[in-house]
Amino acid sequence: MSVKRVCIIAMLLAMAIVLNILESFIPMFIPGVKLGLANIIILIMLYEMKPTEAFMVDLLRIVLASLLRGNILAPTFFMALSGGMLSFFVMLLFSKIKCFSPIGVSVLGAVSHATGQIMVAIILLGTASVVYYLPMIALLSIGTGILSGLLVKIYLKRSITSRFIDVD
Amino acid sequence: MHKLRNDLILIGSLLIVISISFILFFTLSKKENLNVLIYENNELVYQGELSDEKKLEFNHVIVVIEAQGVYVQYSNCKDQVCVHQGKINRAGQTIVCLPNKISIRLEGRQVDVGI
Repeated sequence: MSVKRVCIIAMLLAMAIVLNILESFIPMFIPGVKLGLANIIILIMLYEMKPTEAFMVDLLRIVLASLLRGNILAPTFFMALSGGMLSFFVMLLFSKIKCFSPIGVSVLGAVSHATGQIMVAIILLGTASVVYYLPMIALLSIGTGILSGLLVKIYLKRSITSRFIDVD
Repeated sequence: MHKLRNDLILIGSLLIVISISFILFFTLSKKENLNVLIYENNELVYQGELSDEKKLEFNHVIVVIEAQGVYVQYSNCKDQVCVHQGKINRAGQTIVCLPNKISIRLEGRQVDVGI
């Protein structure tokens, strides 16, 4: 891996962390719902870089962002971790299958993120009644998924990353 | 264009699934009521709402169900942990009497979720 590539990945990670923290200041209708802007970076990496690199960035983003916000190892951290991991693998699968455009992949990622969060919330709280939040959160996450998918689509069309490094 | 059509199908089907689950949840769940579940030897022996007041006895344990909460009035066991626990009135709370193998559980929609 060239130094240039490492630098680009580090910059993408930094951007993902900044977006993750910035979006927590944007109020949504329901607690726990966020815009998912950091997902844009992960989705771009899935399309233009190796899956392992995207995975590392996704994992480090979740850990570092919660470290910076000071809620590491809190229940919200585990919810974010499980949601992030589930949505990563779902997006990885569907970005390789290529039956959906980035918008569809992003929507699937957003919905699976919500599902993963709720699954861990059920385990942590010890009650299945949290599942009542799922339709509400999933509905909103479809909206945010379309938004970030649209941004990714525009970005990919301009092939910005390939000016700096080789794209897969 | 082909992919965009797939996207629309995906989003449409997700919306349908979500709206079905919305309808299911609203019809299945009664408003804010908590359910009382009593287990004896891990088997469900009683299920009812918190709002209907009752006094029940299972295996030498007297359980009182009131609108304000559920508590164990009497137990013949040695440690009396279940009696000392007092009233429970929030979803997810449990009273367990280990010697008599009774566990009382509240389930419902009022959950404190600190997301």
